[in-house]
Amino acid sequence: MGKDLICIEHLSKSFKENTIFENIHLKIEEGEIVALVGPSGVGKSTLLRVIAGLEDPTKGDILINNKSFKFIPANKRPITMMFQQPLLFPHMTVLQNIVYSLSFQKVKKKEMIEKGREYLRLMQLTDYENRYPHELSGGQQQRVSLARAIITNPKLLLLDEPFSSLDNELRVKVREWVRQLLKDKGITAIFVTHDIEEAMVMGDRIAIFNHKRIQQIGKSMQIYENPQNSYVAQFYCDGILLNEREFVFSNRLVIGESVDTFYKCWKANVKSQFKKHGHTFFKLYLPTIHEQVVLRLDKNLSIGQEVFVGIHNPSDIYSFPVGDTK
Amino acid sequence: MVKKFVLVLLSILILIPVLLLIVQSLSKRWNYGHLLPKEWSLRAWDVLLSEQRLTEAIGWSYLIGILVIILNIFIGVLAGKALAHENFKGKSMIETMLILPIIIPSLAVAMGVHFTMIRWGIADHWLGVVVVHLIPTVPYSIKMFRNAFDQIGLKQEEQANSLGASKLYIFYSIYFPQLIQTIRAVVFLIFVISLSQYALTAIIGGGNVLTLAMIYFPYFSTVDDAVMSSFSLLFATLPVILFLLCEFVLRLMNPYKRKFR
Repeated sequence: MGKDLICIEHLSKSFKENTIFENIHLKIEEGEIVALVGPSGVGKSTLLRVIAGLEDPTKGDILINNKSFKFIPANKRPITMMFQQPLLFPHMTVLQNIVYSLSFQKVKKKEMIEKGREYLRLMQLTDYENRYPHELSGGQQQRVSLARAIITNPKLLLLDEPFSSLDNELRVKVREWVRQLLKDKGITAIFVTHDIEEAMVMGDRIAIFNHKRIQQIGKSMQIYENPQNSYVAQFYCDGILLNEREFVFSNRLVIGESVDTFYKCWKANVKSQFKKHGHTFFKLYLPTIHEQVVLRLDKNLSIGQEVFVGIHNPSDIYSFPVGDTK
Repeated sequence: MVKKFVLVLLSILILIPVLLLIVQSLSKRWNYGHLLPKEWSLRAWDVLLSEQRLTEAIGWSYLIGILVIILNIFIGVLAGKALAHENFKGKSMIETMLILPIIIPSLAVAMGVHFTMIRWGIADHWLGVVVVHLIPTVPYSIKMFRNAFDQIGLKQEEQANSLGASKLYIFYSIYFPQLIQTIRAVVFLIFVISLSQYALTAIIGGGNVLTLAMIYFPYFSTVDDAVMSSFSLLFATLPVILFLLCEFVLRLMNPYKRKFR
């Protein structure tokens, strides 16, 4: 991989007494996409706004190619932010929206229109050049918004849950297409989402964000198999949390009718059943430890049935390398 | 169907009074019960045009009105933007204070303002009249611009800022085109208010500043309907001319008046 392009150092933000996040460290390589994932309302968008320059940080710095951008206003930063809503300018046509950032630079009109049309082709929206935003569908609006953002050729693109307003089917299609586009253009990006699956698809690396800081950062499988603390395990991995230091992955859990065959087991109630990708899944509730787990099973269980869920070996228990950081 | 009906109704409501005024101004005798005047004459227009100070009054009315509009747009945009997009201590109190000039009679305020103007040396001067015309107009423009900024929201500005646009360019390219409807309404409303100010102009202008209202209002005491009608028509034409002029300027200034070709 290349050298670090973006370096976020000790970044903190507070509104009066209320700390939104503190001591954020993040290094991003050129062309890399980092998916920042966490529950809604934990300050992910505020972090992006601070990086974009729309909010001032309380502490810390943002370095791009070792140059500090802390005191540089948003419009002078080589960073472009794309918001949850497409935010297309309603009085401009699709083409005018796309070339907006070129309209205040020393670019000739003819050149500007040509470049705009090139991006229209890229976004597969050639026929929509002279349409107004209200004439487009949600997915088309997001594509125009993306084109408008990447035409600026930003050193860092910030995407704040850009697909959250799209329906599920469209979201799946658009996100794969967007990832490919960002990769083809070699754009470095931070992609914010609360959807774990979306983070896994979009990010080269994933940063789990909660409790005012990044809890863990790494490749998606690396985090999934080696969660650093109980929060990451509960939020990102499938399984049951035994205590603040121990976790059992769901692929280690087995179902049994009696307690004798297990090294450790818990009584469970079958709460619901669903089908996905051709397999049957059951959602089980473990009342003794107040945990829920989804297991893929080939046998048939009925809703409300009581079963035992357990592990066969002590090695099936995963211990966190560090304590809970909550 | 409903749209057509409303259109017809509006045309009737606007056209009929104007037509009546035109007919009245050209009538010599129009008795009750007659559909049209018995005799026609240009006498009323002769009286109106023979008024020596008419051109001077129209000129001053335009000058004062245009300056009042410019100041209103300037104050309205700044205050409206701050009230819509900023959060600060005492915001609701400031909002109430800005509405006060409409609630308190302008004449009461004008008396107090008169003293200050004498001290500043702008009483009996057109500059003083411009300032005093702000009292009954500024609250409306602030309210109208505030609503417009509320509707546009702050997000578009943030997006444009993140795309690299400066504050000034954002105003020119994002806010201005979307404020045109409001500017249009403000121009018309403020000019009509300014044009109609008789008492405030008389008190602060001290008789030295001659606007159309100053020569129009004394005609109210006459019972000459034809002259009154011709005056009213002239009075109504002034804002329309300004409106057309404003439309031309706005079109010229709008960076997004047409699609790229």
